[in-house]
Amino acid sequence: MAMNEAGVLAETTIADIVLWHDLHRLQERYISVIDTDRLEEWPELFTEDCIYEIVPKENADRGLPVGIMHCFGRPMMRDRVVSLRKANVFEPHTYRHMTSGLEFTRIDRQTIDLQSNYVVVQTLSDGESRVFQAGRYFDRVVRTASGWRYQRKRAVYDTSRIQTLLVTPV
Amino acid sequence: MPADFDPKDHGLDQLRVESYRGLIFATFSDRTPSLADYLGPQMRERLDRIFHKPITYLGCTRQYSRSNWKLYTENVRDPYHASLLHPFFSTFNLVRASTPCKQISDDRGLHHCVMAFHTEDSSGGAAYAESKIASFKAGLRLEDSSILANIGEFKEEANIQIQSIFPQLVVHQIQNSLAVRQLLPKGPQSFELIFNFFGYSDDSPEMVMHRIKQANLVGPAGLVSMEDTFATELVQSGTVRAGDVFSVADLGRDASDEDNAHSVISEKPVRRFWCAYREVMGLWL
Repeated sequence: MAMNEAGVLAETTIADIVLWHDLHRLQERYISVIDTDRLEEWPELFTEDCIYEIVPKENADRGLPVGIMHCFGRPMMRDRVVSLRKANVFEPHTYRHMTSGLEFTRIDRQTIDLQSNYVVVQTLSDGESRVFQAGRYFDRVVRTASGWRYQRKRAVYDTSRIQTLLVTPV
Repeated sequence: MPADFDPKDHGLDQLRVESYRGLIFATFSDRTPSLADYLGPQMRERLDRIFHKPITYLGCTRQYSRSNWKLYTENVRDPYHASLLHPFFSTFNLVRASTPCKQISDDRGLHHCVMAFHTEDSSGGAAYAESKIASFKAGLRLEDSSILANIGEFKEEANIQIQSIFPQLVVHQIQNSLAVRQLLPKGPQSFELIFNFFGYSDDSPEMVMHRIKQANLVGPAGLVSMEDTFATELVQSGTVRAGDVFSVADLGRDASDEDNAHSVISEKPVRRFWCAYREVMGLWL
């Protein structure tokens, strides 16, 4: 059972379940490509003209635009991956994403806004696992010929400071 | 409270506060010279270049490093490391060891400024768009090189001006990225580094977007300089158990002052800093 737009209790339709399933699958696939180091596939989950950003909550709350990562379009996302593979120096690490509380709002038949919480646990070469970042995703996804894709993904993080550096996207 | 208790006798310490071009400084000491004298004419001239018109604050980012804060003061006084530690710089041709540069110091050696002049390009990156930047590592190039564009906006054009005012302040211009960095010691083993980004009040919307795009270059996820805090952690773990031994920073010791002032291959600013630091702290061997 779900509320329809008029706030009336309505039957959950098969279409609702399919959409819910599709959006979860997109999120799970997103997490999987990062957490299993298949970063070359990461930009493929976005539209060509996408925006991907990681912004501290203290700036977002004050309406200040600057974050730690801003990719305008898939080419900039691929540049990030190339830089990580070839041009940046950092300690090997893994991420494990935990997400919860997925909510979505239909904008139109082809466009949906999503929000969810995330926690990234980072394990460095000392073998310790620590909470690296907690935050919330603000996403817009659109239906494309190859399925739902992110047109915009904005990770707004609560954690005040980045420990040492952030090279792998969240 | 007793009858003779007067709150005026138990107030908070008053700090001496002065400002220069909108930057506010405070000191606990009565003996600190006036701010203008503390900065000195060489450093004031560099601040005048950056703060030549009203600014707009664009937000901050915070980075935490498990290392002593002075390792970062060394880092910003060591231009030689840029082309070695930050492969993004050299790979994408922003700065190489051969880049024309200028090293500026105050009379005491406490403060320092390095400028690099790679290109006079004020075309908004047209030269980059034509793929004239050869890849330093074979086959490597950026798909979207607009991130490297330097849109001319200063009377004295430079790609890079990184100015370090002892003890806590760093002001940087890297292409069109502008920021005031604050170095906050958190005990002897760690520090926080805050990047306060800004633009100018008369920036066009396109220029604001360009500055946001170039925020990618610096800070905790900075393509150019994310490694700095990792490097200071490596130095910390390598030196913390060897406090009674010495390292050597001899690069450029035989070179003339004139040569040192125009080369990034010099450790003179690092040597001068430690001499000045020892003087300030009253530490002599």
